[in-house]
Amino acid sequence: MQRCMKRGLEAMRLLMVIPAYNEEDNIIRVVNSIKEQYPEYDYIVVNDGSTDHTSRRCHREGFEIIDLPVNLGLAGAFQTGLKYAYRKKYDCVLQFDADGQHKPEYIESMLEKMEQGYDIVIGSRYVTRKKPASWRMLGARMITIAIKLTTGKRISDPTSGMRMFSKAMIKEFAVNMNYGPEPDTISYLLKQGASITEVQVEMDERISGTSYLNVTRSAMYMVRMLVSILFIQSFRKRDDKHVIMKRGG
Amino acid sequence: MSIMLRSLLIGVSVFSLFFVTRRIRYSKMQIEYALFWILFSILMIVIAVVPEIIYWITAKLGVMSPANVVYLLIIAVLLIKTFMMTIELSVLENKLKDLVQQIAIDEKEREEKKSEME
Repeated sequence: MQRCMKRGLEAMRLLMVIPAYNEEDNIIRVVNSIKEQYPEYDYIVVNDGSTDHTSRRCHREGFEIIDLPVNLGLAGAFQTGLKYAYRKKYDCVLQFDADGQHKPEYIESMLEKMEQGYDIVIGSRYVTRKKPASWRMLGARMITIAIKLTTGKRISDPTSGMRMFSKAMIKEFAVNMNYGPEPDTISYLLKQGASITEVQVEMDERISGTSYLNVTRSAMYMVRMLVSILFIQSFRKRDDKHVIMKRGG
Repeated sequence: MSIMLRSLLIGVSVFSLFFVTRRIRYSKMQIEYALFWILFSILMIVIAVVPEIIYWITAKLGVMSPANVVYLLIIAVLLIKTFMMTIELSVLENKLKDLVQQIAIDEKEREEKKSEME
């Protein structure tokens, strides 16, 4: 799409990046509902070296899929999707979970915000609603406070995995180190002057399988996020020169 | 603990903090790996500033000198770290091996397809 064109909803090319690790029970249903209800959105499943039948089932259904031969973790898998989007010159990318907790009906309102020129739009559960009191929410609340302290801005649902990224962000995430799709990157980009907004969405509970975040992992994750947001991010320098070499055709 | 040992702990910790943050600043280190060094340095500074923690452990363990407890602590932490790094390295090498093999086999298959077409 040409930049100068007045960008309508149809004109913005959106790619949904769906990282999947051992999601054989959910992935077919999730992708099929997108394909049936929202054929206007492109998607790519990034199979993160799953050990179950995620890859085989997706191939049998004829889904768009990138198979990683080894497990890279969420950050690496997501970045693969962004590198693909960057190469295919998409206008924006939506990070979307393979477990069915994200609902595609909220994409349109997120796209509207994107059109207003935001760099990142977060699909947030708590813009207009209050957070429930639970241990997991205590963690999310602490991250919100840490971001507020270091950037002065309020992100009500920093751990939401439903985020939309603009064209400029696609490039930045695709080529740089330490750009995981996590709250600390959000905090860093906020500090660097990126414009970030939230849109109220609803999410489903996981339908099948269990979240890989158990208590110990959650605690480790929280420590990592808080140290990273409060301490590490203030030392980072933004560098746009690290562009990966373009492969000739 | 002598003032000398305490200032040495603080000095080295501050230096390593500076070094780690510099590596992050120029995108030469992943945050996951930097985390250990930052927390370790902070722990050393806390020990130097509040030596009572070490005195308490010294009394509990029945060790003669608090300095020895500091060394014990550092050695223990480093041993665990080395062990974890050995595991990480094994996983990493295995992944690398898988990747190289996959690329080589893919390449072979592509050549086979090409010669079939000719």
